[in-house]
Parts: sequence; structure tokens; C-alpha cells
Amino acid sequence: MSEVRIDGLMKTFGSAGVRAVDDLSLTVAEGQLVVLLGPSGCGKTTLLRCVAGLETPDGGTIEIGGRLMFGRDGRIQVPTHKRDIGMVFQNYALWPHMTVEQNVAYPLRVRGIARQERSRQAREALALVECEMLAERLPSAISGGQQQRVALARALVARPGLMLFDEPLSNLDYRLRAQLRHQLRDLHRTLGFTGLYVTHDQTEAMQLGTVVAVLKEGKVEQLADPASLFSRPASAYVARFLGIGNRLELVRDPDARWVVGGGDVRLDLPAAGELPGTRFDLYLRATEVGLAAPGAGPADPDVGRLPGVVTDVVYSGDSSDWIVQVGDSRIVASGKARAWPFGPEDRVEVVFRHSSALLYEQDEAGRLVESYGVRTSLVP
Amino acid sequence: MTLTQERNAATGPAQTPAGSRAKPAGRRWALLALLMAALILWPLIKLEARVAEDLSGAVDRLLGYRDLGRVYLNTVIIAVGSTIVAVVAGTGLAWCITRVPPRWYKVMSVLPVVPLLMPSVASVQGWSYLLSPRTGIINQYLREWGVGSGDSGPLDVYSMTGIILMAGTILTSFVFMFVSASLRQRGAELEAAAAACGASPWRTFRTVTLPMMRPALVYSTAIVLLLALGQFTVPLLLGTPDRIDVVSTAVYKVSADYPVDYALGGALAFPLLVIGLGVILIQRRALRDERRYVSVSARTRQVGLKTSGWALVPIVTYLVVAVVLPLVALVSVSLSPFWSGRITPSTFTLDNWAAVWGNQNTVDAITTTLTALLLTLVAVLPLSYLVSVALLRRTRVPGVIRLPIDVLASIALCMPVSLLGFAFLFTYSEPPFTLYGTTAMVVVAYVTLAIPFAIRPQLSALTAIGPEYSEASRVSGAGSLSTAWRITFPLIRSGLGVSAALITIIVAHEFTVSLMVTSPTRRVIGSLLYDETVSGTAPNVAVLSLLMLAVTLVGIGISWLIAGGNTVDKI
Repeated sequence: MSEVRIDGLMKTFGSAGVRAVDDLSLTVAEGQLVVLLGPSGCGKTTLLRCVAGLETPDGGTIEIGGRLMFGRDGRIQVPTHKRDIGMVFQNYALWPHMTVEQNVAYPLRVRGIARQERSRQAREALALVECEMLAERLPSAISGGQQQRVALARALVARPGLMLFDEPLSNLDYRLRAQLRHQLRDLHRTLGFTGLYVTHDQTEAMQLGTVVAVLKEGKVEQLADPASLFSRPASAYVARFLGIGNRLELVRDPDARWVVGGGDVRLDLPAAGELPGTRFDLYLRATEVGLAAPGAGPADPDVGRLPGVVTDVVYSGDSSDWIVQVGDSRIVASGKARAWPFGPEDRVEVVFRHSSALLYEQDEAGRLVESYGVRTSLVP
Repeated sequence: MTLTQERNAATGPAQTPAGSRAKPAGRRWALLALLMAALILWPLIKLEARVAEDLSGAVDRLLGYRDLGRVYLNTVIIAVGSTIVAVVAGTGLAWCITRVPPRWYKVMSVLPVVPLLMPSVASVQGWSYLLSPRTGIINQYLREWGVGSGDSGPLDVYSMTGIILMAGTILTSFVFMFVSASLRQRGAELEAAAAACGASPWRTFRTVTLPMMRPALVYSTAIVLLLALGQFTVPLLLGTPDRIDVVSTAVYKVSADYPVDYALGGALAFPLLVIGLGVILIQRRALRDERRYVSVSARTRQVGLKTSGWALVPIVTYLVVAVVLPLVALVSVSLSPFWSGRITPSTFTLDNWAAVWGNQNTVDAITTTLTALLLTLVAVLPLSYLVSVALLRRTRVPGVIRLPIDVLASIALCMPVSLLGFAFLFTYSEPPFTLYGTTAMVVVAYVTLAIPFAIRPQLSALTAIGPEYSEASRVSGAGSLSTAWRITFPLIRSGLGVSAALITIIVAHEFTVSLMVTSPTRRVIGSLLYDETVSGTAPNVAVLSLLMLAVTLVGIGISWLIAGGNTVDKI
């Protein structure tokens, strides 16, 4: 049993009482890899360190595999080394005075496993991450990617009940990151370990997580599997964090049409029922926005059309970005390098499907308006 | 690294399941703070309590003390004078190092620190053989060449000027260490940036380099001034003929009378105690500021700076003055059958050395010194390690416990050594300790003196390795002790070595406290040496001075083993 239950966890820092983790509850089921996603300062690393026992929470409970690790107002605190965990650090933290094999064998050594056996298991773990040929080297003599693989082997070698990952890929370059991401995904599938994984990289979260928890100011903002997280971000905060950058402010006018961003651009919103307010933010993915010549195409209630002017075209290899001014908002449309024949100063129409757009309430919480975007006709 | 990671939990131990622990906040750290307080604070409090107890009597006897005003005036003149000499020379040397041609850089940056290995008693003795008015070697040559006349002079080391220059020379190394460390840290890019903005080298120095060095300069001036106020060796050995007394020597003379007038001694040294406490406050402020000045560390030094072979001259000259000349004088005297003021190699003999080995007093003193050194190392290394861990910001030590530990460590640095020695004598020769005449008394005194110096290298080594290595060990399943033993110690090995080297230097060179806490039956090399200067022969004194140096080198050897090489240039 390696289920993790976190309940009502609190952690404040400093005399100012900054709440790094704020009454947070989260459950990781056996065999799940839960990714904690959020920008720096959202409390994700603090949460992970509380689970590891490297930080002491102010309140709440942490249970790992049915065993209470922290609870009863701090009267129960199992020290880190008795929690049966493995952890991968952002900066690898391989001990520079030990060889790769000694590093990997260390968790076995402190568990009192005989020399021969631990050497065998260490090599096995190294083979798992394709680093068995580095066993005799010192950490300083291998590359960053190799170091992080060795660190992974060290965390895995004792088959701990819970694996913790603290932004393990952040110090690696772009290509290595992609490579190790796939390797980690495969390892999780093969070994089926239970884990908590902290990252600020949405790609990593989507590819690795069985479940992704987006954190905001010490609380879970959304908890969902990657697919539903991506298609229906529960709040404007999550949408922004997932890189959905096109935002249009909408205000209802007396004619029950919607005015975009203070200008004179108007838009009709199809909705299943009445929308709960008069001010909203509309979020559009750059990849799901198209461009068309003004007045082209037939009217379609499922498609939104907004007149605008192209201000710039940014070529970046395979894809290109068209920057379009709509009212006082800037909309980015991404397409293949020569998808649309428009250049700066051209008047265009920004085209999007309501089913792919996201509507959020324009307040502090910024919740998703569920009734919008649900298809009003049967267009695939 | 933490030894305790548990937080407050006062009750209910029976309910905790296996594997979980719950202990009161930092009780073990509180014990450490108490131990530090017992070592450092208790003797001082006890001494000043004695003064307070007998206040009117102490004040009367203090005011009746012969030449009281003169003693304080001398102290101030010597302290200020030698501080000026040391700051000017030390900063100058540090600046010279930046102008040294690259191929000399490594050697030259170590040379100004070498005098630290030389016991100050030895340099003072060496220079008194060179410059004593009648028999000084240099004086004799000068008279032969027609400089000066008669059978005395022209130079006199037993004078105010002699004391100031001698003390200044000894303190120069300290200033050099602080200033050159800050110069090294400053990163030549900042100067290159100024040059790129069109500033001339002189302007760059004035507007960029000097302001960046200011914290180091202020800090080292304060520390050196404190050391100079507490100077004991130089005024004692050079001031006696002309009756030049300072506070430290006056306190020592009080301690040498029987029965000892502790209240008078405590009252005499009281102004130094106040100044020391004042400097702690300033220092804590300055240190806080210093962090603002920590710049990007850059390996590239000397960007766009002109180097010159001339920069070697002051560095080598300093080494010659501080080490080579006194050493040559000491060796010559130790090999001469008697001291006439002339070096005559034809009469050189090893008799003095042989006689010293045959003398039970000397053998005892060497044994006591080495034993005390080893015991001090054994006690101070773990203790200062624990203190460093407690001072480390990432260790969760309650503030009410960390602050006293921090302050206690700096108190010991800022108190004049003579005052500490006097307080040790008072505290440990009375019940319940009554340690007078034992090696234990010497060791307790040395441990207290050495702790603050042993903390800093370990603290910076621990800071440098960061928390991840020990955290990685703990998540791997290792407890505190095995994490310390298998991960932390190997990683801070060089810091431990530097600590050991500093402990060695302090213990082997110790003169002030040694004179006060040792008894005629239990002497260390330092106290035996002083007895010999009073009533023995010059060659014997020279031999003992060189033995002190030898003990230092043995200790540095031990530190070398601990650090796995590379100690001296890291001090």
C-alpha cells in the first residue's frame, strides 16, 4: 500500500506568515503519478518537502501507505529517513565524493543490505536508466543528463513506497528534457511506482501525470487528468498557466450583444441557457484561431468572427504567428509557415469555433462558464 | 543537516506509533548554547562579579595603581599605531597581489600568510637579537659602518616605536587575509565594466574598487584594533627594559603576585571588555552589510590590469622582515655557545639543542603542549562543527537558541586574550574546579580560545555545499549520524582541515593565557620560554622559540592529513 493522503495541510513561512501551503488536501492512489503544476511560489515544492519530511507543516495530516507520517498537531512526525521514500532533486545532489555506483547503492547500504547484493541491485537500477557503463565514474565526470539519470536510479534502487520528484528536468537543456521525459514515462509504466512530481512545465505535466494538480497560492486550483485539464481548464488562472494566451474582454451591451474590449467590435455568444453575468473573459488558443478575408465565408452560429488588422507576422521555422489587433486586444494566430496570405496592415477576420473557446467569469476566481461553448449544433 | 527535525510536542509519548519521534523544540541545541555559555561567558561573569563585590576596594586600588594613566595611554598609542601600520601594510600587500605577474600569482598570494605560522614570541625574540641596542646584530653592523656611535644604538627595539612596528608587522597578515579575500571576491568584471565606461585606472580604483573593499577594510580594522588593544607578547618582551606597560601586561603582573588581586585585575581590564562588546555590535552590523557587497564570484582576475615584477618587492620584503630575518637570528643564536651579538659560524654547536633535550623541564613542557594540542583538537572540532550546524540558516534551530550561540562565538573573538586568561585563572583555580597546575586547566582555556576560530571555516564549507546533499541522504533512508559521517564530513573535509590548522596555530602560539594558567610544575613551551627569558640564557630561549615553531608545523601536518592536502593557502 503506498497511497498518499494529505489532509488540511498548512505551512506558513516567516514572521509575515506567508501561506505556502494553505489547507490543502490531496490523495495519490497506488500506482498514480500525480504532478503538482504551478508557477514558482505556488507552494508546490513546499508541499513536496512536507511529504518528504524536509519541512515541518504547521498543521494537517500526511499519511503514506496507511502510516501516519505527520499529524495530531505535530505530535507525530516520522523523520525523513524512516518514511521509505525516494527523491530526485532539481540539481541532482549526487555526492561528489562517491562513485556513481556508490551513490546508487547508498540507500541499500543504509538499509543494511550486504555488499554483493547491493552492488547487484545498484547495477540493475543503473541498467534501468541506461547508465550501467558509468558505474565506476565520479559524478563530476559525467554529463548533466547522465547525472540526473543516476539520481533517478538512486531514488528507485530501494523500491521505496513513494517516489518524489522536485523539478528533476529543469536543469537540463531542451532536447535532454524531452528524452528524459519519455524515459520517465516508460519507467512509470513499467515499474508502476506511486509518485508525486513537481514541475512548472505544462508539457512535462501533461506527458507524465496520471493526474495533474494545478496549484495556486498553496491551494489546489484544479485536479484532473491531463486530457480534461487541457480541454477544459477550470479557471482563467489555469488557462493562462497552460499557455492559452489570447484574451478578449467581453461586456454585454443593451442589445444583448457582446462588445469586445471597449472598441466597437461586436460578437454573438451561443450558450445553452442564459449566461450568468455581463462581463466575461474569452480565451482562445493561438493554434485554434484562424484568419480569413473580411466578409468571406458564410454565417455559422458555431463560428465566431472578429474584424481586426494584422500588425506583425513572426516567422519561426515550421509555424508562424500572426499578430492581429482586435479592438484593444492583441490576438495571436498560429499556423503553418504560409497558412494565410496576410501581411502587416491587412484587414482580416479572426475566426474561431465556439466549441474550442473558453469563457471565464471576470472576477477574482475566474471560474469557467460551463454553459458556453457546449455545441449548439452538430458540427464535428 | 539537522540533528533534530522534530517540533514542539510536549505530551503523549505513549501514543506515538513505532518509528515516529516527538521531542521538545531544540532541547539538544539549548544544551549546546549552555555549554558555550559555560565555557565563554561564565568566567567573564564570575570575574566581573568579583569586581562588583569588592567595587570600592577595587576602584581604590585601581586609582592607586602606579602610572595608571600611562598604562592606558600606552595601550591606546600602541593599539592605534600598530593598527595603522597593519592596515596600511596589509592593504598594500593585498593590492600588490593583484599586480603580480600571473606565473607568480599562486606563490605570492600565499606568502603574506606564512608569517601566521611563525609564533609571535619567536619573531619578537628574533628581532630582539637583531635590534637590541648593544648586542643587536644589525646595530653592530651599523656602528661598524659609522652609523651611530659608542657601544649602543643607533636602533632600539625596546622602545615604543619598536613595539608598534613589531606588533604592526605581526598583525599585517590578518589585514591581508581579510582584504585580499574581498579583493578576490570582487570580480574583475566590475572593474572592466568601469574601464569600458571610460574610467581611468586610478578613477576605477577610487570609484569602484575602494568602495567595494570598504566593508572588508572596516571589518579588518575593527578586528585588528581589538587584537592590538589586547597585545601582550610584544609589549611584555620588548617593553620591560623601559617599563612600558599596557593593560594586558599590567593584568599579567597582577596575576603573577600572590595572593592574586582578582578584583584589581578585573577592574584594570574592564575598559577593554566594554570596547570588545562595542565592537561586537559594530561587527554584527558590518557583517549584515557585507552580504550586500558580495559580488558575482569571478575566476578572471587582472582583466586589463598592468602587472609588474615590482609588485613582488613589497611581498618578499614583508616575508623577509616577518619571517626570514628573525628566523635566521634565532637559528644562529640557538647554534652559538653564548650570545655575543655576532654570527660566527665557526663556533656553531648543537650543544644547546642537546642540553634542552636532556632537560626534564623542557621535555615535560613539550609533552604538555602536544597533549594539550591533541586534546584541544579532539574537543574543539566536534564542538565547533555542532555550533556551525546550529548557525547555518537552513538548520531549524529556534531563534532564541541560535542568537545566543552566535553572540557567544563572537564574544570570545572580541575579548582581549589577557582578560580571558585572567578570568580562566580566577574561575578554574577555585573550587569546584581547582584545576590549577593541571593539563586540564590548560586544555579548557585553549578550547575556549580556539572555538570561535574553528567555526568560520566549517560554517562556510557547510554553506557552500548547500542542503541538498544531506537531504538526498536522508530521503535515501540514512539517519542524522550516518548522514553526517558518510556525506557531510567527507564533503567539508577541507573546512575541517582549515579549522584544525587554525586551532593548531592558536594553541601552539599561545603565550598570554599560557603564562597565566600554567603553574611552575605544569608548564607549556610558551610559559617555559618566558621563564627562560627572565632567568635563562639567550641560546636556550632561541631553541624554545624554534621548538614552538616546530610544534606548529607538526599540527599543520595533522591538519594537512585531515584536509587531504591544501590547508595553508585556504586559511
